[in-house]
Amino acid sequence: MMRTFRRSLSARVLVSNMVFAAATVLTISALFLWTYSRDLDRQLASRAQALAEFLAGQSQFAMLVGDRAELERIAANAVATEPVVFLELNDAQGANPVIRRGEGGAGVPSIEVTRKVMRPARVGQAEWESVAPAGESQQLGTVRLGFSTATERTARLRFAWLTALIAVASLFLASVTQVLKMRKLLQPLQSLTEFTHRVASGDLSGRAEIVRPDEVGRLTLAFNCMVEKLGATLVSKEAAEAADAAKSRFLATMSHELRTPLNAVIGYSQLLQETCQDHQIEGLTRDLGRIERAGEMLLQIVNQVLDFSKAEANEIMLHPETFNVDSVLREIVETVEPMAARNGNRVTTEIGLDDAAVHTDLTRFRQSLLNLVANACKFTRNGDISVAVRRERSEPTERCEPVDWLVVNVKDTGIGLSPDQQAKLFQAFTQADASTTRQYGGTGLGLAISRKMCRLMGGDISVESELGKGSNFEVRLPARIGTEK
Amino acid sequence: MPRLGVTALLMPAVFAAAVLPASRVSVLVVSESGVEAYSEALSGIGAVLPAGTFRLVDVGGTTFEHDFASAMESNESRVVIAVGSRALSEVRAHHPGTPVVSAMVLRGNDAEPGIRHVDLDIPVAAQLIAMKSLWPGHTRAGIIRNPAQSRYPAELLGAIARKEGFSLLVIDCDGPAHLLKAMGAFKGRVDFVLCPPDSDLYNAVTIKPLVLASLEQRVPLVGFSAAFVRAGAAAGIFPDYADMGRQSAEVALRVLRGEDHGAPNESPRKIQVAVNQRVTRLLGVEFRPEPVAAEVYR
Repeated sequence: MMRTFRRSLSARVLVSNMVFAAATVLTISALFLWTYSRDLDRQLASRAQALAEFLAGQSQFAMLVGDRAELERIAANAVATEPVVFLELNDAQGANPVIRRGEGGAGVPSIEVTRKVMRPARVGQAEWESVAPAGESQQLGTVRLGFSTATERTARLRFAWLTALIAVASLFLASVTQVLKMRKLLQPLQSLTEFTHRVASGDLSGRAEIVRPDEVGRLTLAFNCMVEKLGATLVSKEAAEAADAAKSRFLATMSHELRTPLNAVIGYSQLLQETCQDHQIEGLTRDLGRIERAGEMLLQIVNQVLDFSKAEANEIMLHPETFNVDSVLREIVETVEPMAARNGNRVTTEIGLDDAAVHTDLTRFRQSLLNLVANACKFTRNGDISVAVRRERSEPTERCEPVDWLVVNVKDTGIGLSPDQQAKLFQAFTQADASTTRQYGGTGLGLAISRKMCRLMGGDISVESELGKGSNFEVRLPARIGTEK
Repeated sequence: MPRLGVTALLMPAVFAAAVLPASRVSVLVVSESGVEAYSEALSGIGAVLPAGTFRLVDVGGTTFEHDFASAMESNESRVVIAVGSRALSEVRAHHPGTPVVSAMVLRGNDAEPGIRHVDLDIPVAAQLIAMKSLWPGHTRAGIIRNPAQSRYPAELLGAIARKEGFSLLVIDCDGPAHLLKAMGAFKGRVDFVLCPPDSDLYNAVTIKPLVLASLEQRVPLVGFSAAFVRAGAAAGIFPDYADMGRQSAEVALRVLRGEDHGAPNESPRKIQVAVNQRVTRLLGVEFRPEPVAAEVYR
């Protein structure tokens, strides 16, 4: 039931409208009933007061002269009328009260009204005070009247039933009207839903019918436009995906096909160098060395292209393992030492770790870090390069447990980067600018690959730099990606 | 009030006489049921006449004509007692040919042959004597009467009053429309006003304004019935109805015995006095009920 209610707009709108309608009808009915009851009570009280007043007037003379027989007659006549349940005439001068009850008076609902019977203010033309004994009370007695509310009660009950009946009938009519109206209103939405299902199943050929030029009609029109554009976009996307797949296949194939002969070139150039050394053939070793280095550079480029194309195709698989960061760091520093020395740079390390063990993909970690340190060495002349490693523990949040982070900062005092250069630094095949490529060489893939690797491992790379003053690359990786998973 | 209870107790016995064998019946009592004063009178009649010597016929009953005719045809009823004016007029209409004693009737006709009246009227002299006992020292009396209904001229009434030591101011009033004006004429001139029985002048409609006028002028009204006193008259002087019944029964017995040589009209032998103490307090007067054994309504 609740599921149907939650899933049905018409049911929700219907229930909402009916709740509102019921509240309105109930409020109006209650207001009517209250007003009617109040008027009825007022009329009743007014009638009872008027009758009590009349009886007080009738009893005045009898009480004045002590005519009990007259009081008895007044009471008997009064209770003979329908609304009088009982009448009590109390003589203030001590006589027993005259009490009369109407037929079946005990069980009849009634209100009670009491009226004082006062001495007449004037008797003839003379002031009453002139004949009233001094100090005698001006009150002759009281009239206590029980006035039946049975008729009013019946009328009230009848009115309440009538109001309830009208309210229920109104609600029923409103609900029927609402259902019919909702059906009519939602029919275009139903058609649109069916059309949407056809679109979802891949049929973009048809168009939803616009029944009325209202909000739903405009929605249908917009939907039709969207389907048209979606069709066009799908065609473009399919073409782009096909092209991208072709490109990736081309790159992977080419890279693979290039590496085989390149390895052969490098291998044979090394073999030839060894042969020349063995046979003490002078003059060829230097050229063979150039061939080997050129081959290695070319292999490196091919490997980068292959890595990038794998990363683009999400084909890189991580192989986490536990290793010591400091040893990897020393290995990297040793690797880049010659390049640093060539540029007159000094490389220092700063390892602030209590626990150097991390659990991540060693190869990708080393590849990323090596790329950053090599870049620092490449773009720094006669400067300082520092590699600092530390661990950080993030604060726990409502959603996340605290995480141990491995943070590696590679700082240099090199050429630095402008904000524009920083913005496109991690894009593939992009370097700081064209002159950088010309001056320093490289494919422009290194940082893009490094960032992809870090992100694959659950971390990232960021940079802070100032043109001409140096850069600070920060690698932030989870210390245990196994734990993260 | 206690007298009503006694009357109620006696009534079944009285009406039981109606079914007695006709052979011993010598007095036919014609009365009207449902009138309190008549019931009291009947109880008095029943107390005097020996059981089985009288028969009661209800003038208001559906079988009155038959009952009356059969009673008269049996020749056992030698005297008829008519209780009340209606019974008297019915008896007159049937010309029974037997002596009739009327009771509880106002101003009986002296000249009517064959009818003895035990009159409901209390003589003015008796009323004044009662007032003298009730309210000593207040001798200025007034009376409002309809001259057409009055038996005595004003001068005679004045003479009677003077004989009793009273002055009497008689105001003639020919209808209820002039009653208040007549009452106004007494202001400051009389100590009290006698109201003789007259249903035209004194009835349920006129009593209230009359009593209010008496209160305003501080002139006590002296009514002719207990009901009048309860309705606002300061005092009331009226016959003892049971005694009137006894009196009429005694007249009937005298007639039966052939000893009736008295006047055709007799006044009530015994009167009753009632005082409405609440009204006297309003008027600022103080009656002495003890000497006349007046009934006091508080």
